[in-house]
Amino acid sequence: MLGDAVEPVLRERPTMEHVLLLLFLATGSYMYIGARDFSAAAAEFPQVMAGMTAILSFLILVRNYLNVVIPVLAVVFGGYALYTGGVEFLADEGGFVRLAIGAGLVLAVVAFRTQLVDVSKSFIAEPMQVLGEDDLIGDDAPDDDAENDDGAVDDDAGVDDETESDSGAMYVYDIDDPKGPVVTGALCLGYMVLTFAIGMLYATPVFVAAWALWARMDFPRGAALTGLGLLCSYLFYDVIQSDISEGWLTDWQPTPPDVLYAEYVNPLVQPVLRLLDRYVFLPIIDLLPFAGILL
Amino acid sequence: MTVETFLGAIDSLLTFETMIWLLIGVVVGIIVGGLPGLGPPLGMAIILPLTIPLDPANAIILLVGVYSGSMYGGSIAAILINTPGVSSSAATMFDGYPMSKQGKAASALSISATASAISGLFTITALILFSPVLIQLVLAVGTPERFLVALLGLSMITVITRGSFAKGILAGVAGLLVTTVGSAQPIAIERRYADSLLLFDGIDFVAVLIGLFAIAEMMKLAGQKGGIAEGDVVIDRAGIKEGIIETLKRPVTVFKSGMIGMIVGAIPGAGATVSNFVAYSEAVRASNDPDSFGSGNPEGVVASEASNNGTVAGSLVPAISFGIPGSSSTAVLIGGLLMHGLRPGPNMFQVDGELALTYTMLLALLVGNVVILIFGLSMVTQLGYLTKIDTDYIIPMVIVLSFLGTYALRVNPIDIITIIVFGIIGFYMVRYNYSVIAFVLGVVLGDIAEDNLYTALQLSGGTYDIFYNPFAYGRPISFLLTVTIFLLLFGPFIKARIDTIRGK
Repeated sequence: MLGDAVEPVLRERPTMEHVLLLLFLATGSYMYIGARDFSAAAAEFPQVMAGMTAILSFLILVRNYLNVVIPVLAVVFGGYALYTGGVEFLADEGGFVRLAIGAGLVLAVVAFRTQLVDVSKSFIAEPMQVLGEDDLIGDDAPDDDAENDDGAVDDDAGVDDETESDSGAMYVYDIDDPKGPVVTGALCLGYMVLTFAIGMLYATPVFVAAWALWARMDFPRGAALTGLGLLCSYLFYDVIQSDISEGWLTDWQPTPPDVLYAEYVNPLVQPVLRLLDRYVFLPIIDLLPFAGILL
Repeated sequence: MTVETFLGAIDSLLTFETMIWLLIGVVVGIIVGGLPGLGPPLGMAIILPLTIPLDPANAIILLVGVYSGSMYGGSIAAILINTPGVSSSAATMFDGYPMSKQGKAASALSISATASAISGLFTITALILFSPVLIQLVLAVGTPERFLVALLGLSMITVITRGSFAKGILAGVAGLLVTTVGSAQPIAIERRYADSLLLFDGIDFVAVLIGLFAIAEMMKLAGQKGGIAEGDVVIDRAGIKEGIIETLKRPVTVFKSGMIGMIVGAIPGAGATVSNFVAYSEAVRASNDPDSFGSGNPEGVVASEASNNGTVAGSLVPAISFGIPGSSSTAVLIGGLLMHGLRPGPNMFQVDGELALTYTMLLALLVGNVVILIFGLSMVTQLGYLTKIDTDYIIPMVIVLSFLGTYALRVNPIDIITIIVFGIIGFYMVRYNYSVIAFVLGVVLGDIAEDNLYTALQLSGGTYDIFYNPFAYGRPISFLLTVTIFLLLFGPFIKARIDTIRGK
């Protein structure tokens, strides 16, 4: 899958999981900062959630470096709590709880560093997920924690010995054809862009036709599926929501099928229908009373 | 009063229109469940936007019909092609497929229909009988407790979901974060990020659900081969009767598995995927001939199928009581309730609230199981066709229906972006073992949790004591819930540390 075969960054082979975590981290950070503009009551819940999202995604992102990150984080947060708590305490505005938390964090780093790191690792560690033997590249990975460190294993073989089994170890389900999800995602993006440009009414059959082409369907089946797609979008347009025929970005509304039929197809078929009426249907209707008498 | 409401619910159910929607729901559910790669949450998510024109009762009945039907439908692919249509039928494969290979496909399908229906019937009946107690329980729970129950649900999911604890919490918290976009429900103050008017009403949870369940699943399905029947499976009509008899000969297994399904189903995050393995294991344990399991023992099919339909009743308990989904399917069901202006909680159990709808829903499930029995048995010989539909036809149509349904809801372009973004996020979340159900729970619970948190803090004058101090506010249930959450979250770490210290 995308990203599994790229070159290592910071001794780790980037995967889409890193992208996912960076997305969570960026979103959490952005929403935490953005929530500062809200009133206190409206900001509390989003700030707590955004803060937790950012912190947790950061911790999972750096799970192979917790030996260093956790003590540093604890000292930084502890120091900050000590400082702000101390200022409040000296100004007789409380701050004792913050002072105690800060002192506790600093003490934990100084006196119980190993235990602190171990607890953090067990919090992040995942028995089912294995990063793969060469997801952490280099020879200074923490050997003593190998079992407990998300599979962050010392890799003597280095990059060159990468095998196919590395990333496969962490997948929860099998993917036989990695192109399938990527193409499906890309086609969905194309469907979205086309929807915004010309409306969903006609974007739908175009998407289905594109899918049929990708799936190498034979022409009759592909055409039938595209027709089914158009039928679905037309039914939505006609019965549920007519606004789907307009492109949101362009305000352009291609002529809907019913109008196309009335303007172009109907005038063409009308003479044929009239001929059918005159020479086929009307004579049959005329014959019906006669048939009734016979019966 | 409750009896009158119950009788009123029967009247509501027994109308032509409602029965038709129930029938459609069950049949659509069986078809969706029978198609490999699709399942109850996906089927319900696609149906969800289509229920807009319906009145709330019919909409919910349609959804529960799909839910119930697809639970049975999942067994079709499991028995005929060794691929579970839904994960809740995974254990059915162990004995269902060997039976199919022995030429007993009709018997296995018939066992599945009969066991599903009987188990569904008695678990729903049990739930209806138990409902007066449940009503008292739900109505006794106050605002702070409801917030804590929401947290408890989230905590249980992170514990039950295999894998990293931090990932489970991250998924749940990220889901809650999604709901903070747009106006703050309890205090009616707008929260606009980047001055975007498109996000003024927030991110639509239906779009999130459709993205997570439909788009993500289709992306996954596009990368997987197989799942289509390669040859014709012989389905002999004579085996139907044999299947019914095989099921009726095992009332204890049906009853026990149904109860396991019901109990496991009530645990948030566990769902039918867990219950059918638990029930199957119990059937093996209790059997005099455990070695015969895995090679076509009808008891294995009975246990698995009875349990997954029993789960439906169980999962409804936390869903309608507290808005906590027991499974992905009930998350979508809660989405349906919210979409139609019905908020899970005490209101669903009050006579002057939505108690009539709650009873109608339960009764619809009861009748739905009869439909499963009739439809399942009469269509046994035709069900094999479902396994021959190529996923290349299913994928584009599911995506099309997802896009159309989502966009038609609000005609807000942000919803289209939402389904794609959350489709891609959902795909990679599942791929890298982040709990999608915890994420969904966060999305569904966000407003409920914030609403109750805000009200509870108003009650306490802004202090959090109300959640953990049993003396200050006279709320022992809050205290007990807080302790339970703490033990659930930190118990394993504390135990590990104690074991380490003892070892040293």
